[in-house]
Amino acid sequence: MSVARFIQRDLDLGLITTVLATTVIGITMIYSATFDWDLGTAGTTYQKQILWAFIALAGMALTVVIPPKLYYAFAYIIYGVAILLLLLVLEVGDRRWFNFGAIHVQPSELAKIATVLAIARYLSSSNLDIERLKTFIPPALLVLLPAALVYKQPDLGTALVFGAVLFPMLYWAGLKPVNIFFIISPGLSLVCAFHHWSLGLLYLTMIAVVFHVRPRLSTMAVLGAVNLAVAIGAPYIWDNKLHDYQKDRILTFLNPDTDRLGGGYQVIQSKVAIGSGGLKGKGYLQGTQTKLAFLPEQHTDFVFSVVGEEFGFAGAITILMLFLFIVWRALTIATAVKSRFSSLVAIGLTAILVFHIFVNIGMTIGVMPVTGLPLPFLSYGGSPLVMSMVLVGFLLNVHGRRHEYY
Amino acid sequence: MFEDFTSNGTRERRAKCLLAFVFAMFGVLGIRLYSLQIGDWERYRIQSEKNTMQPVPLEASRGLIRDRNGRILVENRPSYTISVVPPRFLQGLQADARALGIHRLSRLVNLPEALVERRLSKRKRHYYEPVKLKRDVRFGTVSVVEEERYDLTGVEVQVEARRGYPDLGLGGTIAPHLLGYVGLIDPDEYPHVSAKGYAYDDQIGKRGIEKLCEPLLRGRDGLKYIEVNAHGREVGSFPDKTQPPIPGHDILLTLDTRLQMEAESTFADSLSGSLIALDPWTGEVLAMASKPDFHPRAIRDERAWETLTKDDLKPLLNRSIQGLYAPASVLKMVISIAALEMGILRPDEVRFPPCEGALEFGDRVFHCHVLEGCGELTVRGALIRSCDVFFYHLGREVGIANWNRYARQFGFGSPTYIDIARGGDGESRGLLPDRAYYEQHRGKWFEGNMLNLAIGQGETLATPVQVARYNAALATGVLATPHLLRHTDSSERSLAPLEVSPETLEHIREVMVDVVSSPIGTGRRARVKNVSVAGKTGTAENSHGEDHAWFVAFAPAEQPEIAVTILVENGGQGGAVAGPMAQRVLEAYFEIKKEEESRRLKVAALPSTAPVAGTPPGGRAQ
Repeated sequence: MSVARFIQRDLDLGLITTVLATTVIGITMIYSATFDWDLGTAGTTYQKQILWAFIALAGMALTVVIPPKLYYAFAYIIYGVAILLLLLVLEVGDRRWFNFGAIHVQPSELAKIATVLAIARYLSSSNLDIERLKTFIPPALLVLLPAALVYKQPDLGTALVFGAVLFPMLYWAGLKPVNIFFIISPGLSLVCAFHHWSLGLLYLTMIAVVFHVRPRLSTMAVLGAVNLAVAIGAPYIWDNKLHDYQKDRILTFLNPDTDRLGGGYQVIQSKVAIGSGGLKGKGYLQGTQTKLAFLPEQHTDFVFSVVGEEFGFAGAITILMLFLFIVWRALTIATAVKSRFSSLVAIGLTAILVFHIFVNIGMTIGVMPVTGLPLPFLSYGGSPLVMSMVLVGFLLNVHGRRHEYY
Repeated sequence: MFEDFTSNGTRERRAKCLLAFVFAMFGVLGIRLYSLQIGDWERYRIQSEKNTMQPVPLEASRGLIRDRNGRILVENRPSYTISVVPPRFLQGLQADARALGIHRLSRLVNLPEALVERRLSKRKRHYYEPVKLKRDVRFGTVSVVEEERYDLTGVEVQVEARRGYPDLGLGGTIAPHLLGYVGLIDPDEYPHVSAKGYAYDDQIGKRGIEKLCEPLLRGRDGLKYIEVNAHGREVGSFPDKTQPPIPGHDILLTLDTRLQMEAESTFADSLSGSLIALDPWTGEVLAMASKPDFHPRAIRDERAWETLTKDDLKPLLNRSIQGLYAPASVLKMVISIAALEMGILRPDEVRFPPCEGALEFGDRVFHCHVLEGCGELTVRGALIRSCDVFFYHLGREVGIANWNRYARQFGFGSPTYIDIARGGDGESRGLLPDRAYYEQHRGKWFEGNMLNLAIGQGETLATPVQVARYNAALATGVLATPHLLRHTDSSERSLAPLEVSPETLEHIREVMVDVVSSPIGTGRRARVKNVSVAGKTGTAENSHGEDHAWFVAFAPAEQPEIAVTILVENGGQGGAVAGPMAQRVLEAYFEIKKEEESRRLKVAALPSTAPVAGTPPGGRAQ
């Protein structure tokens, strides 16, 4: 097909425009975050990001051109390569990055997309019985392997991304929400194990659901056993097996206010930055919190704080709306596309986006723990930007071929 | 391949569900943003303004310690301290490079990582207050830190005042027991002093004058506010908000540095003991040495400190106020005065049978230190030769109650309340037994005990400073409180006149002059040319080893200016070791006095236009 015809008929102009706009906003905010009033310039960080944006656009174009058939065919191979790279980076790299001179490449970004491809391929096979428990074992393994490797880097936030893609994809493949509830119930038990009222409430809900759905006896038995083990075991391990420093780490993760010098400090400063922005913000380049480096990493993980401080509530909501538009476009594409594989890929990639957005922004305003997850299109960083653009490339790709069956 | 499973509805329905879910998530973010930016805007705005302004403590310079002539004994010198602003340092690191950063830092300052980690989490007055990592670092380390500072955010080099000890020629320090030292506040101590505005890693007076005068020496720290840029460098200031520091007061001591140096150097290396020189009229301490001693710098060095605390010779002990010894023969003046005052004995009376080297009493034989015997003696002869048998007789006549009463007048058995004792060391009160003491501790009082008490042995114990006060009182007739601080409120100092007739004291003084001037006097080694010296020796029996040597002296006898008390542990015969030491100190005193007088005369004689301390040009080069 010709490029002109593709752009005319099959390019999702709304999506690409919004993504480009967000990226430009990101570069503008990186400029502000690194702007030094003493020197009157912002250094070279934003220029690097511009360069990365072009590289990312090229990556996106490449992704668009390749037919989805090939992604389907090579899904497991791409996945295998990603796993190998994750293993390799633990051994020879800087645990997280491969260093090529001044350039750091994060293989975990590739692994996110590769995992989505592999799960999509598995879930799109025709002889899938979505109601059987053993159906979930392969995708669970596909998720756990890269998650464990990334967790070892250690990067808990990114490790959780892999889990976050699984459930929307299972749901998209036909799994009932009730079953999702059953699958995640041990996690809920763990959270509630330390609070008797909520634990009781959870179990009452679970019993009600069980009566309503009436699953198989074996399923019920496994479910009950696992949940009880978690609910009883977790407090026991907490009280008897964990060292104080381990408990401290977990508590800091759950409540950053307890550790003002570590990650908690950043959150407090970020909240001050955003909160002091008010309705309209302090004006471009006028943020004092971020300028005075009370806020570290302001151009990478905490770039949203710069938006919040300098453009206030209006700016922050605008960014949220842009993201919401991107997500809405992605879901529309996933719905319209004929190929089951492509549709599942679109859902998985959307889940990656949403997870990053929610966890990152949530972190800057103190509703999510501090993790190293970047904000798509806005945060400084080459690998995340390329990954985000490639991800959009996939969406554009499947949108362009939405009528194809394969 | 495409087929839609419909177990949970159509794709459109599922997409709507997912969109609703995402909408709900974004809604949470939106609501939170609203409450932060609209609801709590005011609060965060104020907080953000506070943040850009950073308080910086301005350290007040600590007062100096000077001797009676204004000479500096303890000063401040600049030193480099490497400190860290923990939030800056930690945020400058990649998320999980904390361990690595701490490792680098610990290598830089050469401290264990655990210690660095601990210091980073110390309590502070302000969030942005630097934590002092290592003090007094060498310049080499400073330049390394300056080099690496570019990628070690939050690490700073501060110039700080430290205590310095001008080199006076005795290995750099004098009177360490008295001057004391400063050190970091103990963690246990911190809650008690934090209300006074101390930071966790502030220095505080730990001992001696440094502790005693801490409130005066310390002054008050100031505070300034600065605006900082991204790297914590100062970019602006708020001069109108600066609270300047108030420097500490200088402390003037009664010590005379030259005399103190002489006093310390009279002790040969292996000797331990105490030397105290008082102005007998006022109680001012002109010199007070305790040997062995230590260097205040050793306090900062853990290994040196451990050696000090484990040393059997106890160099940290201030023997002058804490050491307890039998006063021995220097106490014989007490019973002599008691006998003269009570009319038991007239000054020139020979009352007791001649000394034949020993006295039998009950079933025991009490020996005289002069084994061949001293013959017939008056009180003068007995004191000159320090005959023990004479005083055995006298002890029996005077009795314990009277002896105790007179000894108490001279301050035995009660602390001197010397100011330096409040500098943390505390003062031993000694022991002056009475009849009740023996009944309580020995079950029964024996007449024989009095024989030993009369010659200063037995249970009686005294500190050198108690003996020094007694010595000064013999010289002047008043019991003055020894003290080191020059500006003590005079009402604090008691000058209690002795209830002893002037004639009796005069007679004792004359006898003490003879102890030194007589060819057979035990104190003859303490003679000073052209000055009449009054003195008395003592040899304290020591069950653990060689006897302790005492010597008390004052001069000039007719108008005393200085009273010297010397104790040499295991020094043997008092006159032999301690006598010459007293001589040296007394000679030094009069030498210093003469020099100062002639200088004063010269200055007075010079025409007012001439340079005051004039060495003629080129005069030094000869």
